[in-house]
Amino acid sequence: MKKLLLKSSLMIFFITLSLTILYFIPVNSPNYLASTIEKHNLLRKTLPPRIIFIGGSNIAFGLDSEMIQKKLHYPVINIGLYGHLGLKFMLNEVKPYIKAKDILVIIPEYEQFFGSLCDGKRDTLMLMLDVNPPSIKYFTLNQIIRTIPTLFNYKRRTLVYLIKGSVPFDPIYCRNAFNKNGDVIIHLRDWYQIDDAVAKKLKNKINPDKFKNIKELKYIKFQKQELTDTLEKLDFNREEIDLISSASIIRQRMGLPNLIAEKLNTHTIFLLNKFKLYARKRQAKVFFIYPNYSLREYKINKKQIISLKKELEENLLIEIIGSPENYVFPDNYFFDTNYHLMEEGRKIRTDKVIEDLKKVIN
Amino acid sequence: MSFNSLQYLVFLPLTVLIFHRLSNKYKPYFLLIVSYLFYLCTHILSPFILLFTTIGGYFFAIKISETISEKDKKSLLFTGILLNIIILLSCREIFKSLIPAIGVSFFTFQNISYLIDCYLGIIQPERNFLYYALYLSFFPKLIQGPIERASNLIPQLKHMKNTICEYETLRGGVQLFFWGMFKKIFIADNIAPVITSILNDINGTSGPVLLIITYLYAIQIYCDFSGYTDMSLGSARLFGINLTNNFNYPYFSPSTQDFWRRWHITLSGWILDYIFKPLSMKGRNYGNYGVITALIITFVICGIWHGLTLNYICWGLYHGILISLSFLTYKKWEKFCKKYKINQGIIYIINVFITFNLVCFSWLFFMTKTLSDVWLILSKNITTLLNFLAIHSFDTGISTCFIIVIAIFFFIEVLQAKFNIKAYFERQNVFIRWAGYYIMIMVIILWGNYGSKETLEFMYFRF
Amino acid sequence: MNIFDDLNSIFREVFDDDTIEVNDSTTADDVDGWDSLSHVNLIVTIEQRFKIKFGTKELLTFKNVGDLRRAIERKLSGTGC
Repeated sequence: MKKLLLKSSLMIFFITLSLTILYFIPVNSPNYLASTIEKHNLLRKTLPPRIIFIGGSNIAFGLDSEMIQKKLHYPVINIGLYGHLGLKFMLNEVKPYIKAKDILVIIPEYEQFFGSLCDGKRDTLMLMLDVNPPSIKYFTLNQIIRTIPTLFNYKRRTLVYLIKGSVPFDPIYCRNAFNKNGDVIIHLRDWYQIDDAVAKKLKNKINPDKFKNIKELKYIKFQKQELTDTLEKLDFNREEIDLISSASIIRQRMGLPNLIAEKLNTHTIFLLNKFKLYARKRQAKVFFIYPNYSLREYKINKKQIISLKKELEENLLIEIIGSPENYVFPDNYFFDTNYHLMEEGRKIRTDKVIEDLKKVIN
Repeated sequence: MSFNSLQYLVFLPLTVLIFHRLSNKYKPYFLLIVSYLFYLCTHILSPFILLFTTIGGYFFAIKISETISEKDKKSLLFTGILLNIIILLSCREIFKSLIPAIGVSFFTFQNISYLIDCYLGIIQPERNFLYYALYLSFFPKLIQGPIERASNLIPQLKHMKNTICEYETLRGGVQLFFWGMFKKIFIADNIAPVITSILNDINGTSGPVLLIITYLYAIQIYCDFSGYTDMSLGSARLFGINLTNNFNYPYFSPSTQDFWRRWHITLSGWILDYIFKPLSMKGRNYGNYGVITALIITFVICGIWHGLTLNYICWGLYHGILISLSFLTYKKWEKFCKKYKINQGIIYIINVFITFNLVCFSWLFFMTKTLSDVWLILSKNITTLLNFLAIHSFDTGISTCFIIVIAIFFFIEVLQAKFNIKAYFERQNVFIRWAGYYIMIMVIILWGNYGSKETLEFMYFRF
Repeated sequence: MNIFDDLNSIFREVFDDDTIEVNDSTTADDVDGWDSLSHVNLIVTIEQRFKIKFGTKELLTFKNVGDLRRAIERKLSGTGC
């Protein structure tokens, strides 16, 4: 018994050691979240004073930082990536980079104030650790403990591709979707998301080169006219063609929690206030702006948003600019979720942000 | 708590450690408590069903042996068996939404075998309730077998007090456990998602892919179930208990009769002893017809044991007919081969090839939910073969690399079956051995498919 | 009359192998081709040759040739069931 125990402990030690070493070897991941490495490089290299946008995918997919930079004459960094990382993480990852005279603009998704999303989703945090192991320093202890059971899931995924044959590659949610300021630009032109039923119909019938994502058939890249023609040739009816080519099928692709179903979480406000105090010590300014939102979702969640607004106005130490209504846009401006804007909406939204910021900066 | 779950990896070593620390007197009690706790993890009601079955079996067996009149004995036996069947059916079919009846079919079958053995006088009923309860509930075999006979397990449980677990035994247990884990997590579970996704869209899948899937499923079900069995046997060995092996390289069987002696051995042994033998003996004066009828009835029941669906019944029927045909033609085929002096090795390979294909076909009934799906896959497979594998799309979602790994795995199986490569491996020096263990564990951790809900279950949990 | 002589000839005939020598401790594992399918044939042949009839319960308890021999002897001497 003793001999076995000794030997197994030795084996466990070897295995743990190799896993630890393996874990800290960074992989050059094409994953969307891996762009965090570029974003942190930006934070490191750009000299203050700068405008830093903090938030989830609503700013990744809905801000034109280049335009803001041109109009406000500050270097702009958009570190927004994905709402599931949670606001807590987003604030923590910026903290060490805050310098005097920086302007920090926080635009969180509404979901960050409801339920427990601000703590981050376990799988997303895990993925973040996987693509960029040093990001563990922005994790709270609780987040580290929460992610331990899924440790290696994502690291393993890169290895598992050796078995599965190919790396599933999302043409939109990928590392090279961004411009040099950190905005997603890849989705702006001629991408159409198709739903499963359509994908099934298209499968086998269409030249596979036209799909970026063959395995999942999620997006199709065509010039609008070309797409309409192709679909007509394939006997799709008018209605289906309109649906596909308008690309205005809004759905909760990211599976964000429904606002109505969740309770308002005042902890988020507490976090923001703490952040404000921290930034003040470092002589940086902090502002809060409401996220863009689709009209349809706004109608559904109006009550919740109004109560949130009231709560923020009473308790938030950060200066709020603008109102929720100001950032509600028609549904057809949106790409694949009710936060992700396409070109037209993105431009209008950026103009509004510039307007709002002008009021407070100069 | 499944064998391939993280909890079990903590539970098992902990149990083993405590077990070997305990004084002999408490060992069986400890195992019994742990086994019931283990079973409690599946459902809050499960231990009560088990306890009820145990009490029933215990008293019926004693009553049967104490009764003198043959007629009373018989009626007691039938009541006992009926009770088990009622438990099984009510858990499996009637209340299946209320109680997840994991393992019920395994322990009721063991209970029935015990009753019959007592009736036949092959064994004496166990008077000590503790050992009988442990016989039914011993956790390494509780959920998915092997279906142990009382005559094999109870004496071992009783001698547990005297066994001093030697290093070799324990090491063998650990090795077997990880080898099973390798089969389950690395091979079976990496195949599983591919098959599931293709089964969702049989119509839209090309013929060659379906053909490959047909064979992959055979590999999956074997690695899944034999992997489980190895983990089960390995776990038991850590307590100094030897359970019956369930598999003996079934895919190298030269006939379907032989296949059933090597696949799920404890179940086929059970149905052979308790269903086929009485039936065939009753019908022994009707010659071949008697045997064939007995075979078909036996295998249909074997099918039903897996589940009360048309697919399983057809699967049983198919195997019944297959074995009957093999029974009728085997001698003639042998004579034919002798007459034309065909090389023994070639005959063996041809036999294995035919048997393997016939068995792979039977798994279609397992793989799909409806007979029309079976037919769809079969017809597509046949068209593919007729078109000489017309290549349009071979993209199964599994890389050639993994196919090669599977091939290597079966090559190792062949080596083990023919030359006992394991013993050879153990004669190597410590570096080679440790490298072997290390690679295997790393492969499980890095390339295994675990962590998601679907893969956590073993396929035979359903039965 | 030696029962073993008879049994040997029956076994040789049923299993098509002239080298078979059975004794009390012979089991199915020792005889090539003695499986549950050929077992039926064996029992029928024994019953015909000795002109006896086994009970079903009896048939299920045979573990080796010894059990079989004792059952035959019981039948022939007219005792037992």
